[in-house]
Amino acid sequence: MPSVIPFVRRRARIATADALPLAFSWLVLAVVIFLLAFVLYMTFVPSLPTEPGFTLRHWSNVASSRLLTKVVPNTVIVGFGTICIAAFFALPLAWLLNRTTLPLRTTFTTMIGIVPVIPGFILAMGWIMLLDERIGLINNVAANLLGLSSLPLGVKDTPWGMAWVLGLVLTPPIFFLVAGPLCRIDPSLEEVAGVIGMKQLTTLRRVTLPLVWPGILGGLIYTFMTAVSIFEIPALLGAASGKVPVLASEIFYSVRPGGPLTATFAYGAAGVYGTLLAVPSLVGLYFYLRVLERTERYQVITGKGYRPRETDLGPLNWIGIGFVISYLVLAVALPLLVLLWASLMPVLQLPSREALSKLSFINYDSLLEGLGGIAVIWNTVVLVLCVSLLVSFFSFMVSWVVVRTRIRSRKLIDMLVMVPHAIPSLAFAFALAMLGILASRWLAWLPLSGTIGIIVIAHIINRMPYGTRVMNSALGQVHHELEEIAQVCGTKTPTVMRRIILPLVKPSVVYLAVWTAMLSFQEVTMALFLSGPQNHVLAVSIWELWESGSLGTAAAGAVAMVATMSALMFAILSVARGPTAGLVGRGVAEPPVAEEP
Amino acid sequence: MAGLRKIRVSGNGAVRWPVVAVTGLFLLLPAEPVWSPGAQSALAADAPAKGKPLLDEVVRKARQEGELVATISSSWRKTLIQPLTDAFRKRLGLDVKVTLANVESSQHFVMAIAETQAGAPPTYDVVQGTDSETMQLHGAGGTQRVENWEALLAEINPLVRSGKVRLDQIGQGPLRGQSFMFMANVKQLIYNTKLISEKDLPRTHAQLGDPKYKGKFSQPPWTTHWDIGLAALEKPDRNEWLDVVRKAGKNGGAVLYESAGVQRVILGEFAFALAQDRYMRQIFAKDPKAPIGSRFFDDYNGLTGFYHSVRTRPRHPAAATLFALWMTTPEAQAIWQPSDLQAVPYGDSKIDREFRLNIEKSKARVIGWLDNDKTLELLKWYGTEEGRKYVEAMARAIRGE
Repeated sequence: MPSVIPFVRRRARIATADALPLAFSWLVLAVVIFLLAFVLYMTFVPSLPTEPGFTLRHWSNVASSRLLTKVVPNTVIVGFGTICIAAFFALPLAWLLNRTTLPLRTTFTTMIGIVPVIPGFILAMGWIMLLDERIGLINNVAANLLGLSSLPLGVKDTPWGMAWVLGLVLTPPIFFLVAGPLCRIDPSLEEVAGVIGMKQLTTLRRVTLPLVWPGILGGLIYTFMTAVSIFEIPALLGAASGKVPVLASEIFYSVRPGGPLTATFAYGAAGVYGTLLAVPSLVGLYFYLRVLERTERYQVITGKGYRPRETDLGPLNWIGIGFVISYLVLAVALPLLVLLWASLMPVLQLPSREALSKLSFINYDSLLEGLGGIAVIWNTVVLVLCVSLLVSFFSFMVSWVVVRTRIRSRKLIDMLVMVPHAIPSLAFAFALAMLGILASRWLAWLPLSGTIGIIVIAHIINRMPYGTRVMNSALGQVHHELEEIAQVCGTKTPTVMRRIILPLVKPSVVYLAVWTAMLSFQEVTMALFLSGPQNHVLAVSIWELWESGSLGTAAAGAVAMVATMSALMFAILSVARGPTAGLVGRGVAEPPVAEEP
Repeated sequence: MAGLRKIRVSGNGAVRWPVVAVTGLFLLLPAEPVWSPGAQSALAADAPAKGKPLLDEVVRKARQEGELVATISSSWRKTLIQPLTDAFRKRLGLDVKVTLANVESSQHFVMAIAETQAGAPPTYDVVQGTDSETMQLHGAGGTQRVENWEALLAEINPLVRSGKVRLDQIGQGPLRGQSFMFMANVKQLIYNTKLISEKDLPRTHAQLGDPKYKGKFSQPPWTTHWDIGLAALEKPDRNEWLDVVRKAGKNGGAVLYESAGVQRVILGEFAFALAQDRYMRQIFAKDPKAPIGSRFFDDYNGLTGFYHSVRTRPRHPAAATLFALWMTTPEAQAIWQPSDLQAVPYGDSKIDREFRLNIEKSKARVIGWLDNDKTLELLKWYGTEEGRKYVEAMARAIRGE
């Protein structure tokens, strides 16, 4: 009996200790649930929620023959093709830049971080300029060499082309998701494999990869859902023309069937497609949660100290460098060159002698004023910092509940927090905008509509799925024994989080913060929809420039954006972990307890 | 759509074509009172007497309000905001806080309608948008009539005061006194001169379905190039017209925003694109040697007018009134036009004169939503359930479905 009382007390104490993360989790989930309910409600409303009426039209419109014969197959190809290409690049990159002695890892990792800052429409335009059958530079050169009129190679009007471009764009999320756990793996596990005679490749396949499996799976699910919801790249590559319709283009055009200048709009349609998208996503999530159920299998950070082992590739270093460079050329250098070229041309043209004579810096004249001046920069900084910090904080709290507690509702919490990723951001933005209008009517004191705060909320909800994937896999690696020891010593949960767990998962937190900042920096759809007189951000300014035909100025703005973000990212990461380890990769990965016993 | 439902004319939403035909005959008669030169002169002479005290009163109220929050076109450069603000304040002697924001009107008008329906205060005192968007907002009760607008406009706008511009050129049809036109563009063909000659371009919209243009052009996803076509046809048959759109959609090379379509025409990927005239001017302003040209269709060319409207229950109604009227002046135009390069149909700048001359020389048939009863009827019909489905079908046809 005496032994039972402390156990019961301990259980009660742990339950109380979980109250804080649970409260924060439900705070963010309350917003998610409200918005989800609103989006679902919108699927039964003819047009605006402020009007009367009930309709099933949005649902019946979806049931077209084209959906099953064209849209779904294309979307599946684009989704799976994207994750194949992204995983093909991301997994080796994560290993090479975190677990080997490859030189220039800092620079390479920072460059991978640049990818999301490059606007998607620039990347798509770049690939058209390179591979189009009529004007593609690579195609033309290759066709000339082979004596053909053109090559049947292109990214346009094919789901594989879309998957290729999207795969390059979405490599970094998987890279960042896997890199954190990868560099925290206890090397003794791999050493044991070596002792029993496993070859390095076998060790990688049978020991290392399974240990980071939650991170990989989370990344693949996230990438799939992202790939099928991106509109601008497929639209430029043929989805908009109906030749290769995908779900994202169907969503876009079902919301404004007549286009943005006509009288018809149906935001409920976005909710219908969101619900449809949520189904496969939740199936994927089910398997992901089953993997997480056996968290202890992935707990590689224990009370024992260690130093992550780095593999010396020896003469194979060059192959590794070649692989990294080939990705960076395809995903960073080529689009950056196109971006730079576009920014230096008065009107975008293909490279030629005549075009070279037209190069000028005219698009950079009064660029800051053209983008909106200091106010826009300030709004962007506030947005990026707030979203980055709050997403990291709330993701940590939610993942704590999901991974480190036995609360019954934890699976529900994890599923709920993932659902926003399936709902088109446009639908969420619309729901929030409506909320802002109602607040201005009934709660005039609440500054929501037209403020930077409403965009921050939208971004937090939108980024939480990714944030929790990162934190789930990171927290899943930390063994319970660490906090149990602290609790035995009487340390309270907030202190355990702050002093023990947080330092151990710091690499992942830094990854998450930087990555979230990047995504918030370049997000347009929600910021555009929620923009008011005082909350314009940089990405919206650049989009407006592009949309109004000022591609050169938009490209100049994007060049400035990429340069600024690269410098900032490098600086933040350097400050986070010293100048030589100023990388998102392995430098920050050294756990504070990583001292040899 | 919400607004248009409210201004529906026929009970069942369907338009009886004999009625439309008869209505067509009335097109020759102006729907609004005729503003003859004599009447205009009378107004001009009357304006100083009536307009000055009225304007002074509105200015006094605007000063009391102390602020103005207005939208400007999302395509306008942000560098225009300060000069516009300064000039507006200086012209009217206002020392008020002015916030001008670039706003995508197509997205904001939905919110504006929702604000009106929810009884919430409007985010902006004045909003700018296209004729069709403004009609929606107007129908939903989201715009407010400006009292004594004729006298105020004559006092503020020297072109109106001098009689060079008629009032109905600025405030048209149902939007008279509610919304004030300040710029416009016309849809046309923009083509790559290295890839196709002018004589080889399609003459009518129907010819876009010709197999010889297969994969050679891009068109935007929105229906504005096509929907007004029904008002331009002698004997409009909706199903036949939908077939025309469908053939063109299947024949097209891509469906892209106009700006993206024009960029890809310059790159040489497509021979021509359906786009608005502004892009031509913008490209030539940056690169006079760019290999592009433009041509109007022979059958019709849609005109999109842009209007400023004072919102219902604005926080700063007097300042809003002054801004909406001032934006029609040559003074405001001289600030935004050199960079945006859109024309003002009643304006007197070089761009405006060329805009009119081009249309006149080419004998292009330019048609806008507020031109006559027939176009207005059609616009109202598009707001009905039947019309909405038709627009959806048209949009799908553009995308080749």
